[in-house]
Amino acid sequence: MEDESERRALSRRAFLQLVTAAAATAGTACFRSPLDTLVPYVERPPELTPGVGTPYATSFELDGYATGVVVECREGRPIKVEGNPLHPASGGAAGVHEQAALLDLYDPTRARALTRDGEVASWSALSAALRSGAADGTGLHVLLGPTASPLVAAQLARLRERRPRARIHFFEALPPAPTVALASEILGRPLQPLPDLGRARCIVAADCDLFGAEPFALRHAADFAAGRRVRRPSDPMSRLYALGPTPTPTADAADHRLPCTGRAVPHFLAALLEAVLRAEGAPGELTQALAPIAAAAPHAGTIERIAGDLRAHRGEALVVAGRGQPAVAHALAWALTDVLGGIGKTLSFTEPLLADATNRDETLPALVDAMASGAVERLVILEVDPARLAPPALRFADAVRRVRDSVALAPHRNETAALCRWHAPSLHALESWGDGRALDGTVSLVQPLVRPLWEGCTRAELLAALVDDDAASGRALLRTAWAAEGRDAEEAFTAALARGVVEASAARRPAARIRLDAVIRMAGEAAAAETPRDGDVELVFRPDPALHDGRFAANAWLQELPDPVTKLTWENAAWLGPETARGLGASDGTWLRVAREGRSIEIPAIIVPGHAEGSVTLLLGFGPRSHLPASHGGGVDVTPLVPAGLPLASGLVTRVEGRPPHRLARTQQSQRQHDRSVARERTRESLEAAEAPRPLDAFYAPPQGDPPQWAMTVDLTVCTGCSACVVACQAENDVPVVGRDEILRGREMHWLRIDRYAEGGDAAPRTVSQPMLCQQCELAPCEYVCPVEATVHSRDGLNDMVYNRCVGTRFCSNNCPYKVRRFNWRDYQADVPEVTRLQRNPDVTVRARGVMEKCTYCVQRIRRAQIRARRDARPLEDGEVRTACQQTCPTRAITFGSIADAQSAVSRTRAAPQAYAVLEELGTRPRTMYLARVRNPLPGLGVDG
Amino acid sequence: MAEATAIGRPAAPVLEGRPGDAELTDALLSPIFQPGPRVARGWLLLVGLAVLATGVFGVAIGATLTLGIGAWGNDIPVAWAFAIVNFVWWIGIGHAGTFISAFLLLLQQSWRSSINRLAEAMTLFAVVQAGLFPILHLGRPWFFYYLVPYPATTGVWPQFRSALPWDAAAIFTYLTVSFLFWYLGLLPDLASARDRAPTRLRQRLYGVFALGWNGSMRHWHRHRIAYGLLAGLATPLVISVHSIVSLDFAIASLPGWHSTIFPPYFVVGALYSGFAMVITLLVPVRRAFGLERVVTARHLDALAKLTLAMGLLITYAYVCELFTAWYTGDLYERYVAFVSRPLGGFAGAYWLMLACNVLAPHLLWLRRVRTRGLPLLGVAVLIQVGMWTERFVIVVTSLSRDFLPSSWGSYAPTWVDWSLLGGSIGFFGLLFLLFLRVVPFVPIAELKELRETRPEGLEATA
Amino acid sequence: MSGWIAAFSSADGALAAARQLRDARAGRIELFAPYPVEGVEEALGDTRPRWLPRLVLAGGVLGLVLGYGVQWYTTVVSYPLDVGGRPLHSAPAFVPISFESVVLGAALAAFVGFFASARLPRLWQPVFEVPGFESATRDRFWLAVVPTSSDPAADLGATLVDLGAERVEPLEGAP
Repeated sequence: MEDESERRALSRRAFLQLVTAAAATAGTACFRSPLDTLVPYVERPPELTPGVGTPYATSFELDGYATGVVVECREGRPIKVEGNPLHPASGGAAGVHEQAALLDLYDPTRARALTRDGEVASWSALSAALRSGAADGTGLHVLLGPTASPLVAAQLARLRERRPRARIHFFEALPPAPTVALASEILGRPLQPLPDLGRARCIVAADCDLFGAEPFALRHAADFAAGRRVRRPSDPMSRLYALGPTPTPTADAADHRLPCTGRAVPHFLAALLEAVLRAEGAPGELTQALAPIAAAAPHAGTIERIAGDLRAHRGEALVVAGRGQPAVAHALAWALTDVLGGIGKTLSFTEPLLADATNRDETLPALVDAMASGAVERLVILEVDPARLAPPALRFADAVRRVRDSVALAPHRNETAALCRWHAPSLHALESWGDGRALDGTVSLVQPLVRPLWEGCTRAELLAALVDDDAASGRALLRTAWAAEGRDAEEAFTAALARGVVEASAARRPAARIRLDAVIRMAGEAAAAETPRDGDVELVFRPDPALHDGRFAANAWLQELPDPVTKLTWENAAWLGPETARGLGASDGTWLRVAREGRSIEIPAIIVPGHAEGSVTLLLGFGPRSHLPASHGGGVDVTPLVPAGLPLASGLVTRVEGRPPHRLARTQQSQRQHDRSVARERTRESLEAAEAPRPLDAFYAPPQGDPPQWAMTVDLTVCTGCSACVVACQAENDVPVVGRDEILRGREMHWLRIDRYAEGGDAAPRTVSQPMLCQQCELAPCEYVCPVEATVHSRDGLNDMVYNRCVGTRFCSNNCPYKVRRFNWRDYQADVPEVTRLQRNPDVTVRARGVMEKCTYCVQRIRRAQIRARRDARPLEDGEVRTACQQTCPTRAITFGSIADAQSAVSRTRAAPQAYAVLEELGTRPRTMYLARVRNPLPGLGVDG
Repeated sequence: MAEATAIGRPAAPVLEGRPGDAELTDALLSPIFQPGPRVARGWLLLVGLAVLATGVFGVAIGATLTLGIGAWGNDIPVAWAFAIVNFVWWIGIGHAGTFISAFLLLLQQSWRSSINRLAEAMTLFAVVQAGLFPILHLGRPWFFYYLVPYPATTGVWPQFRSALPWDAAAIFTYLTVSFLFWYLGLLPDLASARDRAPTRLRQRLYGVFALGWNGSMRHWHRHRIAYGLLAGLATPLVISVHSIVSLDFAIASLPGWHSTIFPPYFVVGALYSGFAMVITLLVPVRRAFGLERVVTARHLDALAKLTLAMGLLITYAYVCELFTAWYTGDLYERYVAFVSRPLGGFAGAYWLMLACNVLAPHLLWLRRVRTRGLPLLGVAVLIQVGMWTERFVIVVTSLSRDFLPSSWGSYAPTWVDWSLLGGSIGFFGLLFLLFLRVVPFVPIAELKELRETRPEGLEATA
Repeated sequence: MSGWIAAFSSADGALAAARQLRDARAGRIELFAPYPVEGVEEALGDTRPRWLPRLVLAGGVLGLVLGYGVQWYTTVVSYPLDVGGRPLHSAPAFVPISFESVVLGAALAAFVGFFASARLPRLWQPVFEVPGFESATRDRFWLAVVPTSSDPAADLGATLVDLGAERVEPLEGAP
């Protein structure tokens, strides 16, 4: 109730007052975010025009690495996140997290005040408390997640220098791959790998979700897609083999899917290395040393051929292991790439960027020991949630209670914050000053776009407060760090702010030499150490593609974002292969008990064709949260089973008898096509025969409007199903979130959905992800059945939706063969909290209850571009209008433009031999066309389907 | 001998014994003015029940208007469900009345006289129910008038290529014409009621509605002409209305809807359920008011035979639908016809439909079933259940399995859906019960005329 | 004192009397009965209006013109829109409503036409003042005669009794 009143308290008007307020509280003795840098909105700043958005460059950090973005502000409100074309990790694309993070800014459940023992406290009191105690930092412990942020690194360095006895610990539920330590072992120096898919034509992804869970995923996807756009059989096309237990967007995009347990991956790589070495005529002892490991390799029949394929791509081959794999897998992958001449081309090494645990007493267990021994007086936890995510065996919570003064910096009053004495709200990235580094080392800046909605501070500010008495503001800290880098010039700083990236800041790439013998020795030891237990099932723990480790649980967009593979929303389930499920007598929704080391959880099963048998995938990030409404606590918390370190373990899976099956809230019921060629695929060879598609003759010739005539093509070959476009559409068009119950009723509202079809055998199906949005049919079946002219055709070929005229007969939806129309069954918009409404796009109509809505090719963007062009008295250029989904797509799978111009990009893609219209036999003449999924399988390698 | 050929020999009489005009008049007016105490009590009880059900109807309507269509079970892809099923069911039932009175009048089927008014009243009340649902079913019912062509400030008009404005026009016309036809036929009997009314108040009331009918030949002549003309107009109207209703589905491209057989198929189905409803109402009314001499076994027999004929026709329609689906070779049509309907999630409804609509009517081959009240009633009720299920199968099953497997869905009705169905039945019952006690539900004048002009029907004995 | 009205127990009796009076040129005659009596035209002269069917036809035609006209005007002239690529003048789609409006127009014409030709509604009529006239809607056949001015009214009443009337009442005003 009180929360409700607070929501009211921050109405749009009040918010604008905040934005425009003079910096009254500036300069008070505390280290809160800088109020002094905001321009009082008394008279309109020249760069701001009401009704026109202003883009600002900034960046978001996830898993320690930053992705550059451009955020559009309208009247002081950030309303849309796009990728930053200048940033290497983005290249203009933004993933689901970068975009959805915007909603977290307006999250009504955010913590709003600094508290001490649950009571509101003053920041000066906190800064005093932080600096109390021994000057040398005895008994001071800091816990944070691995990060590449130079600013945070600088603060940590100052802390180490000024408080030498303070100890710094790092924790992450799913730690980054142990590559730096590995490198120092087999490269002779600490380095970290940087794969370059742009130069790779033959790729083996070993349990490595290059386009999803791995850092730099957007860039990887873009580089990969660049090598997949073929029109003729002669066009060069890369080939991807995906190995591993879990079907991922990467595995879906692969030409060959090789399901195998996570533990078997090193064996496969060893066998592959052995085969390659043998073919390269390497000394016998090397191959013999590998032989025993290779013996246990899965898909043994394929190894020789794949090795041959790799060798045929010398210098263009890349073998890469995922963050879920042990060091040995990475070692073997590097060795393979090295032998195939890929080092320095497809795989290079940079100096380590992450500040993380480099010695064993910087880990979480070390911290827990210290706390248990009572050696910890002051504990500062920076934006990590060990109370929920740490392995329960550590008994973290009990240990913290023995700390005298504990401080948690967290956006919500989560489990950790509730545990600590102090809870300092952390600022949202769009409210903070800071910086970050991409995987290639490029530095990008973080600048605030709004004055903090509620009080809070950043990691850097809190760290600084540990050493400085006169705490500097975040901006000052950044400038100091900037100056320390030797780049003092204010202009350079401003320029960097404007561009979002710092010029020439990419990390150096020293030459690296793999010590093959070391790798092989390592492989041998690993194989020896391994003790496979019979009867156990392998448990694979992965971050949820949307909620990650749970830090996005408050985010309704991400909660309702269908999983790219299972299409499950608002909850998680245990992924099983069909055979394993049969063995357990489980079907979708059957409750399973998963037990490991005396702990067990009950979780519903979901059968995923293409999942490795004998292995179960469990997604983190779900389960009830103390600080969130129950609706956001769907699914099952699997952290009790998560092992320390490597996210691979073995456990026992049994069926829970007598518990009624769970109804899974999936947005797609059937992933089979039932012989309907909806999502088409073809091999590269077949492109020769194909001729450009010709639309069916219509009984009534569609009326020819004036140019431009808008159209879209979606290239299924490069679409990975990552769902970034779904979030982009939701943010751009104010698409409401409906909640689990409505999803179960089949009432999801996404204007753009991604259908996934799996064909072929269940063991390794061929899948196609098909973004499905309004097809803007020229002979639209929805239009002629509308009794009130609420949906009619525009002169430029759009299927318009007139919300104010709609009476809601829903006949249009019945007659839409693509079922892309969405109906406001309830007053969904009214459920949006007042604060969250600030995110709404002012160019889009808010739809009332009882009204039909659907994709309009972002008509507001079209009209704005046309107005701009008319103002400048020039014709609209091709590519000037970009729809939200198109703009954010990492692989550039979506092309949009006018087919009135024969030279436009969209006209050319429509002429591609693999272009087709879905259900064209109905004569609807869709303006949205698809490029059939083109595969590039290795001839004769019969593993898929 | 028209009815001889139509009904077949040996013909039970359409009027038993030879009651005098006075006797006949009083007998047929008695339900209004002096019903037996048992009848009156039973009637009150039933009215009470009907009022209760109507209350539930009101609650469900309230929920729909305040919560929105979200209170129903509808979803994407099943955007139409119970409301449309109920609408088609009711409008279908509403077809028998006009058919019986108008069509049989043109064919000079004298036996119609005893039952036509009751059938017409049923039609009116059924159409009233039917008319409610399309409006309730709108996402924004308060804008229903957007479907009416009126000069709006926006300059926008209805979109006449859609079947829904056709629907609106058809229902409105049908409701109006049915009412005019019914009222015109009622006029002389209102006059009789006026002249026999026991109290001054009732006399005045009936007097007002009789509009000054004095039974002069001048009135009778014009009445006969106008009534005949209306009958001639109503007959094609009956056919057209359900044809148009069927177009709500047939003009869509959805497999399972997009079919040219729909108009005749729907008309037959409508009459089928309509006759069943007439039987359902006639049998108890005849019994309760002791009208066995006026509504004779002959009437039941004739109605039963008509129902049987419609049952055979509907069977033929089902077969045609299946054949067409197979013969087109269309992937989607075949899937609906041979997979999703007989084997899919709603297979139960499909087989129930076949049992009720295809098998049950064959009991009517037996004279015992045709002429006895209770068994006939049983068959009639089964047929109505079957016809409701048929519309459910057509609407919901087709929608739940359309072109893209990715968008396939299911459907589960909520309490509001069920209350709307049950409530509308209650409301219909209420209107009908009131009708029984307010106007003579057997046309008095027509019977007298019949008694004069067709003596042969009276000589035969049951 | 303008005429006489007499009740007969049977239609035949009333008809016979009517014929006699007609032959006797007694005056204007009208028969009131519970149902239309066969052969009354021949007895009283056929007064059925020929124009009523034509009125109904006119109503139908008017309905057609209005029905189709509104659809054509709104779709083609007033606010033309591209709807699903269909031609503006989608004649086939205009048929159903046109048909319905034909029936509606004709039906209304028939209904209105009836009341107009029957001079209804007229809640009070002189005949209603006649005692016992209620039986006209039950089982009695009332014959009203309004003599042409010259004839002596008195013996006309007597004539009616002779013709077998059960009771004879004076009738004030025209029937």
